[in-house]
Amino acid sequence: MRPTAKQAGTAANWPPEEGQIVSFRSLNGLSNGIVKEVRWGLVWRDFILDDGRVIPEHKILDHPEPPVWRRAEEVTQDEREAWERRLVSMAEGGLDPRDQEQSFWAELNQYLAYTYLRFKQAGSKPPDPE
Amino acid sequence: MSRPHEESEKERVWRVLSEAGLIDIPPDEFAERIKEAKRVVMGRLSELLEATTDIQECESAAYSLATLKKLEGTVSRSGRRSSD
Repeated sequence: MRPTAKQAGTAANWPPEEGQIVSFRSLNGLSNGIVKEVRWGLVWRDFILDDGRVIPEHKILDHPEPPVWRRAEEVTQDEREAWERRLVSMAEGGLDPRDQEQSFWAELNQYLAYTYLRFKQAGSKPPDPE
Repeated sequence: MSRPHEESEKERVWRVLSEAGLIDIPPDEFAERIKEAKRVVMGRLSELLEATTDIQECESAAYSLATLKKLEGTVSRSGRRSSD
């Protein structure tokens, strides 16, 4: 039997720990879930809930403002390549990124954000003057 | 003299990602966002190829581009399935 979950605290004891209840913005309005794990992605933290849903930290109610982010240069090449292999494997395995709050959706979202941040500044040219 | 509200690094990252529509991508916009990411990586890759100084970064950009192309194929296929 699962011990009674506590509502997550705010600010001083952020992020919530395993077993705490968090509320977050979902497709159907506000939802709740029990935290299984909080882990860093390529850009932001994801909250893994005990039912398998993956919720980005910035969707969790009462998260710190602005949310904490990770610099692109902090991501190692090994970590990035492992992330890319995992994404391709999920894609080839037939997972659909449209399944929101699932791993593929969450990891693809972070990968696109990371890739954009990493290459944007050097890769884009200023707009032509009119 | 400091500005009344100097944008922090965290705020800047949030703004850049928000403007690019890369926070909470709606399911039907993945293909478009992947295309935009590819455009950014290709821009960087062409700069690196011209400079020919940072081989590792060049390989890294090429690898990312290949990954995005694979993902683009998957997203467009699943998009067609869901609209059938």
